[in-house]
Amino acid sequence: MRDGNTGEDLIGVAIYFPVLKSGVVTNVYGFYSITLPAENYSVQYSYIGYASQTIEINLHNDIKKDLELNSEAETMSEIVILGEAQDSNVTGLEISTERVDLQQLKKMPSVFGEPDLIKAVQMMPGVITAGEGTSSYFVRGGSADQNLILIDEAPIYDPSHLFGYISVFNADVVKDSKLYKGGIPSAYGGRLSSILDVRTIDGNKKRFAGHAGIGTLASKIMLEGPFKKDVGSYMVSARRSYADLFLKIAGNENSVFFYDVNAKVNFNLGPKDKIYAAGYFGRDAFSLGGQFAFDWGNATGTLRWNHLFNNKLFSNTTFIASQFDYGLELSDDALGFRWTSFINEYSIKQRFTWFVTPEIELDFGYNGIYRIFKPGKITSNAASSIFTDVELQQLQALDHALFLSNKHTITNKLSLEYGVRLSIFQQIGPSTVYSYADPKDNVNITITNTQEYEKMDPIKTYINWEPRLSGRYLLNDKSSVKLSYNRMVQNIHLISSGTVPLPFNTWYPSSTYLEPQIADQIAIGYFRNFKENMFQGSVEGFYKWLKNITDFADNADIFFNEHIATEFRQGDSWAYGLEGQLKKVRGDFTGFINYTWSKVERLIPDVNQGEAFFANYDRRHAFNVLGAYELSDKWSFSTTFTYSTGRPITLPTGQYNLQHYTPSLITERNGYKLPAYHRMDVSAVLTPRKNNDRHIQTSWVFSIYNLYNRKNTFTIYSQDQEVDDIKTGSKEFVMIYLFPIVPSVTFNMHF
Amino acid sequence: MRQSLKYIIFLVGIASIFACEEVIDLDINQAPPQLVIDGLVSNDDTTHYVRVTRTADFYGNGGEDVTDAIVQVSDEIGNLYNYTHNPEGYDSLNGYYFSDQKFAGRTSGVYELNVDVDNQIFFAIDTLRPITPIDSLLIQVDPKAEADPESEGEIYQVLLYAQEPQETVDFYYFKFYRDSLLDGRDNIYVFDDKILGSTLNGLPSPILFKEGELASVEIYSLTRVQFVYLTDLGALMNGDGGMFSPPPANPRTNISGGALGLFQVSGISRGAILIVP
Repeated sequence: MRDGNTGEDLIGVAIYFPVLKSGVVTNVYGFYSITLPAENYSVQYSYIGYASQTIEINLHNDIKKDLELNSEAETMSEIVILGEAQDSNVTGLEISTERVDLQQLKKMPSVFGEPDLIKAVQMMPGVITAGEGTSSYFVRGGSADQNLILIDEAPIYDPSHLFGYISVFNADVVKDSKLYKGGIPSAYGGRLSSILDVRTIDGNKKRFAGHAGIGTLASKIMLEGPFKKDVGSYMVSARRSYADLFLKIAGNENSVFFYDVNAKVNFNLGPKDKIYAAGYFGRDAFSLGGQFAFDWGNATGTLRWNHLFNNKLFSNTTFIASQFDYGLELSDDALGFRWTSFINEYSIKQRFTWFVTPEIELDFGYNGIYRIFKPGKITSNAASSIFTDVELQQLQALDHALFLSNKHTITNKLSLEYGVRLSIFQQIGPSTVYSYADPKDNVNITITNTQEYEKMDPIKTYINWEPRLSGRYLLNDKSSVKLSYNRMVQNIHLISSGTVPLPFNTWYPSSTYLEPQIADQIAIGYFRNFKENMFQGSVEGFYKWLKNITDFADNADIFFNEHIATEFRQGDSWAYGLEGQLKKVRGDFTGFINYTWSKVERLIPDVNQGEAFFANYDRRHAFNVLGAYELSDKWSFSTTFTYSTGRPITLPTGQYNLQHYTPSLITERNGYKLPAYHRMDVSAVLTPRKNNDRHIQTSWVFSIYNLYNRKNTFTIYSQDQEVDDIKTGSKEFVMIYLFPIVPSVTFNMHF
Repeated sequence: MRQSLKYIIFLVGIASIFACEEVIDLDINQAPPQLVIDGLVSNDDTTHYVRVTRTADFYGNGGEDVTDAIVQVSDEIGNLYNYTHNPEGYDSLNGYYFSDQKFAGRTSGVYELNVDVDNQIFFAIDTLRPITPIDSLLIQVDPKAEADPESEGEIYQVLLYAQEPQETVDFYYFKFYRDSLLDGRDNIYVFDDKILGSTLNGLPSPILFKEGELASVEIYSLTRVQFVYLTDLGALMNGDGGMFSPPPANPRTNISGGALGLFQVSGISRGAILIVP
């Protein structure tokens, strides 16, 4: 299935046979297959944002029907409201899954006017944010490291640019983006709480096109086009910020900048084969006063081959390489150093989809990952430095998964998807492994044995089964009930003891003293559409049990600690909640409103005196609204409002004297809640002289972030009170807040 | 250096161009008072102190002094030193207990503290580690401060030279004085010898001095347990509330029984230099 204008393969198009009351949906490569008795059929193709099509076919032989759908935005005046169009909210088998509406995303207001995918994710029901200035999010009681973020199947370890003000996803090149919060199919694994599967566009197969944008923060350009019409195409885009250039001109020694590049090519090698190659490269650099510098970046590359064995068996083979690294540098004659850290991942994914009968669709395959962890290396960079070089040993691991699942249409009303994923994880050599007398004694560390392992020697193996099940029962053509259960296993752990992971937190593999984390989640939901699917509503409840949650001892030393195993404290966590949402997807006025109530607690040995405490990301209420209004061909407006309960924080409950210091007394972890966070943003898009014949189309986006200038608390810390640089002997609390009201303008050009 | 890493992390997280700060009043439930024991035994030949107090409310002004505790220090060769509360009766020394006789802590001596408060016993034991003498101190002008001084004339840095024994595992705590007054910031300068090289080769002072001031340095030797306590204390006083840095927690102490505070047992090296350009 392809977009009529650009030739892009469309994902998730519903192909429906009204007479049979059944159909299929296109997969992530725009491919679908269905086996039916030979007859004449009326087939409906529908997809949100596109005009549905109904065609007649005579089915007497195997036929291959490639079709093109046209974007709804262009054919607005011809919309005929069809009875069963665009009802995937109700009829789809997916529960606990949110798809980002890209048309909506481009109109949403944002900081600096750059539409941001992660900001859209942070507004979904069941998703909690840490606050602004971060690209982290927490899904259904899961911490920020429990989310897998994929770009064309390659993992992105830190999705933030500029400390999270914007994310690494350039909205211009995103084709489809789905967040799985629960009911996760067995083809996915590796993290406990969510999968964000982002697919980029392949590139216009029909003609050369492009888009350029100039904004207050950054500029971007995107070019796409065919190699040979309808056979192959390419896409390349780049973004760069220029705050650093302004600062240099102003004589300021500070500097902050980012860039990113997306590139992709694809070819049809014949009617049965397609290959794709895609890459993402991005980097951030920050320097303070010419003395301190900090940089980080992701780089990913994927090579994919789609093969059709026959009309029923589809295969996807992908090779992936990915690297995340960061560096920190202090320039000083005596104290200067450079600190670097890397995580590299090489993997192969083989996935078969077998459309056995119209009722049975099997999905099975293998995913193998080889990872190299380089947790940290410090070298002095000063001639007369007083420090010696330190390097933590490199670690390696193999992560295998086999998966099998069946999408089973049992009756007209009942469909199930059931399957299993088998996870086999091995930490392998070369490595030096320590055994400790008491692995939890982090003050007097006593090593009882040191074992050396050679390259590829298995050190520790963990095998876990992950059953998956989801089901949908159609109550009628307007409403359904869905249910899911899944077990997820996470074999790698982010070593981060704050609420928000810093770009320089490190990943470690499961090992002798660190077990894989496991989560079991059940979810049940009621889905209802109104007014011919113009309104889509749902209510969903979930409960999640987590074990071996990786947390840390109080005062844990997590940087450059060869014996970090003594700081691990794994324990239990549990979360439950209720989410409700209502969306309006058609008409001049569109938008959504959603509300989430959730609670998440942890019980970790040795932390908080062994008593349960609220997790750092426990925010009881979250409420989001988006409204978008198309006034005319020229003007459209949108506004977003978000509210959430403040995050828990550990604050002092007393103070005392020690030598000449006045330390705070801590008696309870996360006993206090910060004030609630709320904010409204607005934006207006002006598209002057919209003329379909002209090849160049311009638009202006005017945005205001934090319209009523609320001082949203970022964090609170305590300090000694000083008057005229002299301590008074009393203590005080200080609140930090980030963005005041921020207006911005962006100019866009499509050609 | 791990210390400077932590400060950097705090800086990076917070010092983004858009961060703003505001002092606020918070109404938080306060915990009932807890016992704090703060003691030092050093290699100086003097009457050593132990201070016993209780915690106060966050917005309060110092906690209650405990004046009726029974305090004793003993060592591994049979010496027992009794301490008396505020023997001279000065108001400012309420809560302070001093040893009845002068004694000098012995290098490698093992000292044990016992404090009895209302029949509850608190106990600590630690060793006095050897301390390396300061070879010399030199003065140098910090060019960045000369260009942009924080305070008028405060541009001189003191460089410290001392040997560091490589065969033993050692930990150090540095205190800097300006005209005999302890530098008032909350930074705690502790180092472990894994990071330091074989000589402290011109370790620069973290604070700057003015011409005419007397700059003095004290180096204390620490055991691993005391080093951990002071590192935790520094993190507690310089944290950002748990946003990027770990959530605040009480420091891990060598005192058992549930009291806060530290029983410090250290050798001391001293040096001083008059700032004359």
